[in-house]
Amino acid sequence: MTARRKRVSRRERWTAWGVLTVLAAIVVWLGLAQSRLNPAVLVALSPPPATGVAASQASGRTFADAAWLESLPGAQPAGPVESYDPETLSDRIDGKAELYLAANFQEMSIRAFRLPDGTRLEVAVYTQATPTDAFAVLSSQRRPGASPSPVSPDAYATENALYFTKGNRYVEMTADRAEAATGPALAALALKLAEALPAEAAAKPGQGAARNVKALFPAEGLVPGSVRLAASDAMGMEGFSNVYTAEYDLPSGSATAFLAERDTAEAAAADARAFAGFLKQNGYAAAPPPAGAKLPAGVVALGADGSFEILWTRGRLLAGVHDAVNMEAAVELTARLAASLKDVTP
Amino acid sequence: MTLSQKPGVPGDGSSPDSSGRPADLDRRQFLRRLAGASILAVAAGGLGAALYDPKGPAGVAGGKVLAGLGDFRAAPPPAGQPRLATVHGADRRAMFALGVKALGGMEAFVSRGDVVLLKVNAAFASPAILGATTHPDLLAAAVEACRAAGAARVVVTDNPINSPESCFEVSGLAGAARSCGATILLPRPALFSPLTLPGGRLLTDWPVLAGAFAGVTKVIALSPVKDHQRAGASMSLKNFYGLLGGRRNIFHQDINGVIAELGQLLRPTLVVLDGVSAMMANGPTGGSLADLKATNTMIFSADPVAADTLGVALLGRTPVDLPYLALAQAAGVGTMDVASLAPVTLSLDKAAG
Repeated sequence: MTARRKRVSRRERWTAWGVLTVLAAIVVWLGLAQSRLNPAVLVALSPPPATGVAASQASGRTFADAAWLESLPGAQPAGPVESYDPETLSDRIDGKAELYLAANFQEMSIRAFRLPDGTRLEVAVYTQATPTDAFAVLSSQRRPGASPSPVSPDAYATENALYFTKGNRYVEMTADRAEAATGPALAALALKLAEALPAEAAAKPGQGAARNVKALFPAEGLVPGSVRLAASDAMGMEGFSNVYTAEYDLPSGSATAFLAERDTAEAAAADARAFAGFLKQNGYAAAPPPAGAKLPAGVVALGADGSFEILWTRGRLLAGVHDAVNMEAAVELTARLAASLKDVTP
Repeated sequence: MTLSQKPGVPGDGSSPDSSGRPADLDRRQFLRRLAGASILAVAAGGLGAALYDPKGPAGVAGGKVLAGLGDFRAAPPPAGQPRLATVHGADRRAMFALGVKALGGMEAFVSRGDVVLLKVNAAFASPAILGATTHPDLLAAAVEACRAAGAARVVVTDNPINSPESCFEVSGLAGAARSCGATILLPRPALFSPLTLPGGRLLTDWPVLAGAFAGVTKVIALSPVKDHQRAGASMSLKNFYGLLGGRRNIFHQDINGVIAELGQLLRPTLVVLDGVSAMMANGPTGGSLADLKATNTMIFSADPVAADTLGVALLGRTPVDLPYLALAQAAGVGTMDVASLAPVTLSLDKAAG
């Protein structure tokens, strides 16, 4: 059969283009309409679990960490184990979920228990992606004045609660009272749970262990329990992520040291410039350190009313002093931090 | 198109004529194409008819999209009378009585026969001692005062999403309500209706706990003072978040915008901001007593913006730290100019003395 090619008149061609134009306009309109947030559509597509139904039951997903809460020696379960994933965490801790999500949250299981003396407590096991992420959520919530706990190196206790990490898990245990027996009871339960939780996984072959950045802070003058890791928005700057901070009481005054490790030296330098720019936007201006001060090469020193900042980079490390009460304290802590980093592979 | 009696090439009509134009259709070809097109048209029409739903989608409870939950404000007090009161102390019941008295007494807000809805913050299954929820003592004081003023019925509600029964029981709110003769209204799907806030940017077609307001004539919000990871603080305005249904956490993308719109949902009769103990950090859940500080203050007003403007100081912050206050004020929800409300400050100790 010979293919036939019909000659198209000008009117037909214009008509065809007209129809295609209308169709294209409809497609554009549909695209725009779909791109706008319609909460009702979101509700329909992602309805919340029925009232009173735990997310774990609603999703049908299996949560590995629920098993750790099946029983705790000496404590009677006072409710079912409830489990949450990144999609549902806000159903349990709406308003605070972002803190965990920013630190690579994977799942959480929680259960209420009752102790023989009637104390009601809740135990929550959060699984983050890495031990560093678990430390981030623990340290960012660390309560001032809390006591160290022997449960784990980072563990701390308050009058009615105990918090610790093991591997990539962060555990919260909170009681409904603060009596003399509350702390020892929580510590005993925490020790048993910590023993049961798996240890930190060994580094994969060829991967090498990650550098323990928080161990690089100088010990002298360090306020106990003050080392924190901000998973996001460190020191108020949006997007400034994975920054360790440590508070110091020095003879010249108080100040905060900070450290962050980046993938490349260029990335560290870019973050240093960005943070300096952020400070300048917020009223800081160049504040030359005293003549003769021994500071690392390339430092940027800034100051505002009663607050001084010094920052620099050393290879992939971004280092600095934040919110020092005077320039002397800023210089003193800078010198100590620089000395601590002197032998570190950049 | 013209029809010819004799085709150029019988059967297909595809051969061009001598001028290069395709040959004209013959009658058979025309009829064949006409039949094909007709079949397609009938099939398309039939499919459309089969899919046509003359009734449309089923309506939701209530049958219409709401524009608000109502204006429950009482008559304004005489000029010069205080419209905002701050009471210092530690006994919530006594502080409630003193604060309400400073604003004209409970009778200024609740009349005989009123049905009063108490909007508490029961967000978490957390014991009262941890300060994450409205304190049961405050709820008990409010219920008793409403009943003493002649309220026909007092209803207590909130939508905590996660296990409302557990939240109300563990927080002690259920026990306080029961002991004072108030009714706890737990959220259930039938109580939610879609609401589109006129001029609203976020609250459009959004399910709200409208069923809890059926027959209600007065609304009193009882809120704790808390740090809030996303919003900066959770007080009176943020408490209205508990009137939303659905996956409301999507609003965290614009938390200030949605809190400002929440203030437009309803005009409360009275808000009571309980800062006897404030959650200074790690909010809104808290968990440790170390998160709390005895701030010994309770604030009363019909204006949630004014109450929150004063209350934020209890957290060591300023109104500028809460952008939603200015947004709510701009939307006409209330005023940040607390001095314009002729505020009074009272101390329980002095009152007792």
